[in-house]
Amino acid sequence: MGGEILLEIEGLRAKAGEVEILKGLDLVVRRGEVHAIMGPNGSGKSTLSQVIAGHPGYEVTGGKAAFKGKDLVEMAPEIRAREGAFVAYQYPVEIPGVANNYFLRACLNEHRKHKGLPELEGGPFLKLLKEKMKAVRMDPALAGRSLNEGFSGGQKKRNEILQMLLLEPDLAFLDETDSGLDIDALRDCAEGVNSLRSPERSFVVVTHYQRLLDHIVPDFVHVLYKGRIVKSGGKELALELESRGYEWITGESK
Amino acid sequence: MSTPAEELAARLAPAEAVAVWVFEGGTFRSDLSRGTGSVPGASVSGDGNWSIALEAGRKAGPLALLELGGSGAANHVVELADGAELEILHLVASDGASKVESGIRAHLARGSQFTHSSVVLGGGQEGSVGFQARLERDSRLTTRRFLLQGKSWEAPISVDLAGPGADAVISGLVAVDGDRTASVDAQVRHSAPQATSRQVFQALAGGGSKAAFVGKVVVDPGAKGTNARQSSRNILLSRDASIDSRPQLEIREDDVKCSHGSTTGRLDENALRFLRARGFSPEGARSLLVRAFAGEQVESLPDGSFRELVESLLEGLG
Repeated sequence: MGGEILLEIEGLRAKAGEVEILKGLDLVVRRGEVHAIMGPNGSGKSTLSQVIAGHPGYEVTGGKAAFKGKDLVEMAPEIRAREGAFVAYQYPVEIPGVANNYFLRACLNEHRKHKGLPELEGGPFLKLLKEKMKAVRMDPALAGRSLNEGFSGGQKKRNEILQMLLLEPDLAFLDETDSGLDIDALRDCAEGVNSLRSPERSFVVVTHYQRLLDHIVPDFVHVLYKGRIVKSGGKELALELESRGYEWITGESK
Repeated sequence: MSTPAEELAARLAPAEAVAVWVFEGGTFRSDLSRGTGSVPGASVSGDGNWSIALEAGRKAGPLALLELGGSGAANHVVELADGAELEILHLVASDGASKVESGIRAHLARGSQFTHSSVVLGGGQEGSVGFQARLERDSRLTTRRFLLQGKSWEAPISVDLAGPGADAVISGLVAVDGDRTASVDAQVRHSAPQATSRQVFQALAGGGSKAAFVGKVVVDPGAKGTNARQSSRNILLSRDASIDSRPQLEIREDDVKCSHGSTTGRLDENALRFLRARGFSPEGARSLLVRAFAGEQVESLPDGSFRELVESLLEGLG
């Protein structure tokens, strides 16, 4: 597609505790592209997401990961976020006592400050919030509740997509956003993603199932296995995986 | 040019108070006070002790007591006749080097209501803000304290539910850091049947600070139908800080419901990580979680400049 390179991962190795999970992973994401990463359980999909987010429990032991040409590993997690790398959590965290709307506004204003923009006041923010909540079909009552506390699985994932819509990142990394979602919530989350697609913006969609890719149509599909990308192709690869499983790629029988 | 006392009085006197009594170093400063003549039953003695006696069915408040400077010792007295209602905002802003002792002693007659909120602020060395109350039949007490600044402070509390149907809500939020210390010692006695009490205490300790909470509930023989609840929730913000929480129950009656719980933990690492992944600095993330922890106590305060003051004191913590 030929856009500028946004994320460049080369030979990335990472450990969770003492166990090496990523064993030389390569991935190049250019602006405007949508990549899907699939793979059997335990192949390193979530580890990759956590490494991108800067989780301190994962140690990068080799290779490199650059975001907008800067060494991602050296950047503090909050700087990655403010620079435009967004990771949607597979298991969004509940924070009792922090009102969702307060969190969302504080969050947006951290990003605006970083970009040298004025902070958004209450009125204009609420207008924006209302519009974005409508876009993901989220119950307006959830704005005033504690962040994710007592939210259903679908409400939590909608809330993640809502954060993405408000922050408008350059790169959105979606870690199994489809897990535990019913068909309606899946469609709403996918529509949220699609509404942000642009030639400037990139997505990496980590998923187990081809189903999500009916809604978010990827440009590239990669198979992650034993900590490495072992096969890449176009969107038709996902369909092939759906019908044939991973065995023909991994060479292992179940 | 204004003196420090004038500047503090202007800054701290809560706008919502209908009358404000200002004391400096234990001496009444009528020149810095306002509205004090308009409250029937209120007076100040020559040695700087404030008192109020509300007649049956009268309502007053919010009234503010503002104590500035060091070397003060005050014993304020509240006397509420049947059905009277009073709200007091009590601010102790000590910057002195010597000990400050301030206390309120209240008597709540039948069906009366007393709401008391206090805050300790300023860099004062040490002191205590005491509270004592005796509750008669069907009276209701809410007493809150926010020990958020000052070197070494104590908050002794003694509440006697002496009349059937009396109800007391007693709360405290302590925040210490550096080498500061703060302790709350609450003694709650149920000496009459069918009374309820609820104690809610929270502490945040950072640096090498120490916070302590002793909460004792005594249920006398014959105090049937007592409902006493007590909770102590605490957060350690550093490795060197310590929190000593000791709830105690002394029950000499069978027909009662008493509960207590005490927890001490740290800020949720998952939540901190999530907030940073969304763009919050480590300090910003900690501060947000600290304010969330303290939220319940702050939200129990009515809107107004007293609440805003407490919120601003909580801003810099974490």
